[in-house]
Amino acid sequence: MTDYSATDPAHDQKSVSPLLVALAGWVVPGLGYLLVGERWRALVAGLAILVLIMLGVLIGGVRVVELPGYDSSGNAILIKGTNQWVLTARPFPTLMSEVWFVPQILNGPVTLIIGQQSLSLTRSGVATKMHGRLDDIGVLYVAIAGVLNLLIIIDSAHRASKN
Amino acid sequence: MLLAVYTFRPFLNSPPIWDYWLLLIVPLVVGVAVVYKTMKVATFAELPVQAILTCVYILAAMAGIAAAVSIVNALV
Repeated sequence: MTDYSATDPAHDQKSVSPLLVALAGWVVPGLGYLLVGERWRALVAGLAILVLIMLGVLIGGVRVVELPGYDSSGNAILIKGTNQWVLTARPFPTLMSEVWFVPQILNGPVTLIIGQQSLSLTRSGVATKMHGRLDDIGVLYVAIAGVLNLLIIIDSAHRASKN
Repeated sequence: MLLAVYTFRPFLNSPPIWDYWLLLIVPLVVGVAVVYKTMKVATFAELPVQAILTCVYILAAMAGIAAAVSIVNALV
């Protein structure tokens, strides 16, 4: 069990809503720790997660993040007849068809930014989907970074509830 | 032949490291260990040693599991 009473020179406990801490931790990895006064934890965890994301994109290319509801050419998938976007018409099955996006989005808006870049570079023909192990490994890096971010969100929110 | 025409463009396609893909487990394990231990340790001073130890444990466990699976595979 973690001893939350243990302090260090950079530790300065603040009273902040756990919900706000969790939300901040999702928006920017590590920001939740910063809000509860855990500066070194915020810096180390946030940087480690961002480095993992960048390594994933470097290893597999920008298309390791694929936004759900778009085809391999980067165009929105519309349902024939209704012309409704598949993600709004059938959100769950569409999300399940891009299941790696679920842990990846836990990294916060940075995933959406990379996904948007992935789409625009695909449409312009600059980026192509890589196949094989390196692509899988890149996808895995970003997904694991997301799961780790979820862990630090939970931990920082828990610390906020103890303050 | 393919490698001769392959041009690595950072963040657009993969670097030509296909033959070394297994080594990519190391930075991933380092990242996992650092983030996990960042949550667990009480002071920053404890972090490097704890993270290195966790890396070693994870890699040793993976190597052990891989060895066990290959032994089972060879026997069956």
